[in-house]
Amino acid sequence: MTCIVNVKGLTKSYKNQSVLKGLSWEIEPGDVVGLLGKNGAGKSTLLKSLLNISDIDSGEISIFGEQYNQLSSKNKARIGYVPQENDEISWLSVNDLINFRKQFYSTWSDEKVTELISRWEIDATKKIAELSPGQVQRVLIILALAPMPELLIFDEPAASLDPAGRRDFLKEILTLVSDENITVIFSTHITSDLERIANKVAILDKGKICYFNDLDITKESVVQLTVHCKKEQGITIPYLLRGKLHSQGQYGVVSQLDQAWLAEMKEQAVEVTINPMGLEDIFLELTA
Amino acid sequence: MANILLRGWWAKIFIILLWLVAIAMRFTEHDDAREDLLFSIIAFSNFLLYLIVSMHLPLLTHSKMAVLLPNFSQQLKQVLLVVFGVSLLPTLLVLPDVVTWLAFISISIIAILIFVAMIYQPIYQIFFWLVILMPLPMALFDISLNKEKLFTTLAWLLPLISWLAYVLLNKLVNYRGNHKHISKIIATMNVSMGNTLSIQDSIPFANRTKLAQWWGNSHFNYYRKLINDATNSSQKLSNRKLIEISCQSANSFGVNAYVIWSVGITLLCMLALVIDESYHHLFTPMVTLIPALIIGTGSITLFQIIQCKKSYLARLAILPRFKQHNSFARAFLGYVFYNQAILYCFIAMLLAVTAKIFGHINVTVYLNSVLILLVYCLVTISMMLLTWRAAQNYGNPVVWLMIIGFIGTIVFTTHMATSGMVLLVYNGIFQWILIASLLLLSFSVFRQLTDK
Repeated sequence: MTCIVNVKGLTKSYKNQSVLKGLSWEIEPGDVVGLLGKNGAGKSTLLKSLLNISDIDSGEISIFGEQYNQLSSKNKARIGYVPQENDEISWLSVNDLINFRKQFYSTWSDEKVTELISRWEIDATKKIAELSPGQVQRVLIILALAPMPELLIFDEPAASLDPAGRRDFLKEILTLVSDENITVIFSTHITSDLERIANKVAILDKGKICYFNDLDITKESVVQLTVHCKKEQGITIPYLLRGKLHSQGQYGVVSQLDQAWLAEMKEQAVEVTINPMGLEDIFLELTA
Repeated sequence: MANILLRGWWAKIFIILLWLVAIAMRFTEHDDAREDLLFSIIAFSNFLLYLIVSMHLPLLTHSKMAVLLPNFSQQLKQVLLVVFGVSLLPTLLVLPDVVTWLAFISISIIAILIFVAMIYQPIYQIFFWLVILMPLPMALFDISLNKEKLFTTLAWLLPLISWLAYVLLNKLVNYRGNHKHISKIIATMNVSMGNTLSIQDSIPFANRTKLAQWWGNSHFNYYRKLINDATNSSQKLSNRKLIEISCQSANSFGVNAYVIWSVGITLLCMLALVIDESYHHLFTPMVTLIPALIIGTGSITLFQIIQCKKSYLARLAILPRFKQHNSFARAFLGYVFYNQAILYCFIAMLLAVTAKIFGHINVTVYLNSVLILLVYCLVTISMMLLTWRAAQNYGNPVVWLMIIGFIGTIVFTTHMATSGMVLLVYNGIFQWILIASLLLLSFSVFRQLTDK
């Protein structure tokens, strides 16, 4: 399947501090990817780099098969983006801002705008500066959804929303994904949001995507193991994502449980404790 | 997009008014001496328009979405060309012949290039000073300026200038660089005219240019010294001084500004004394612009500062030292009057010195200018006090009124200088204006002293 987003060897640094270190990533059509990462891990930098909002040091990025910094107008119209910080012109009214954006898109849906504005109770005559951060976030989401994009990129979209707003937003994304088969990439550190809508999870740590897999597989397969053994036994845990030695043996997080290896351990009378993990635990373990 | 670039009703109305005045003058006045004035009015109004557009451009070019909006660059280019084209329409009616018109287009394009360069790269602000200081090399190297030859050359150079402008325009609509500096411009352009100062004040010290850091530090050092001296001695700071210290901003017109302007004017006068008198007229724009700049930075800035410091001053007013009835209002009035009186005395003195050296205005025009400045000062103080007391924020329209009133003052003074007007103090209309401004001031002071 052709990838919608393809990243190879992406590096980016700020003032000699490396943020992204040779990152590679592929997103397929229809994927709803939740990008997890600690504060300062580079989630926003990665998303901005994909869209050419932030310059990169090296690497290759392609979106819809075109080089990220030479996107045609046709492909630009297929992308919706909600930034983390609002940098819209603060003295424009919501109506003015909508009209300004509308002129660039032939696929603009006035119905969607009207529906969302009334559903989210936004006073469109108010200036951006007069809205609360949550309302601004909603306006930005409307602006991103109105051109009916095929690729939606959200940078911490629910950060300023109240619980009701967040639920409503997630519902909207779910509807879009099921009806329109669009691709969504969103960064967050609210794992419950991710679990609600994403079908894939990516974890960004130390400048690289250290984990990228289906969410269901992740929740089913990623487990925590404690192998009660001695160091001299030299046991190697297969599919190990992260592991460490401690006084009672080995401790590790694996991407999947190898049944053959488990049987082997049983034969050797090595006790293996298996603990299922929630997404938050997986994230904490992998980025610890 | 054009709405964003041409934001501001006050400015737009002012520009259209100037166009209408120029067109009306073209069809009513048939005096050849008016040509220069017409050219000046149309150039001023169009340059103001170009400056406004240039200042708003970063809001579009440096928006995060600019790279993502389909056809953004093409649409922006188209809008800029349309705005430029529309701005040339009144010139078709106002300018006398094709050569002047073509030369005007060349001058306009050069002005736009300079404005945009100055906005996007602060280093190009040197162009502004080069234009202002143009008379110096002309006087020093004995370059005579033939207006007709200059205009013909500019008219012939138009294709080249247009080609250069088009190449640069293509670069501009895709330009995303110098983000650190542009973010300051965007912050300033994202607020209304009345709040530009508070935004500039909120820029972190480390993010300012070295010159701005030095300027701010040297300004604040004076007030730090005042505080330290008061702390080390038994004499307390007066209420007026306390308010003065509270109202300081990195952009305040303070002691260092007076010193630098005085030194600059002295150097200019010394230069004028050593060059031939026939070149003195070349300095007229410069010596007219300097008092204008001083009023702009001294008077409008003070208005903005006291507007920004409203809540801070309200907290100051409840300090025990202001418990006596009206003590805060009196001290505040004292500060505003003292500050503005010094500023306008300085300008009056500066005008006297430059008039004496350059001879661009005679004694009558000088006295008239001082009287007009007095009226302007009275009205400005009244507006400051009335706006400060108002429950709603009228900062934006008041700043525009000040600017428009101020430009009107310059135009009137220029007209006065050329038309040989008698002393204004004997003019009935002026006497009424003076009385009205005194009454307005008295009312604003009365309100200041009686309001709770």
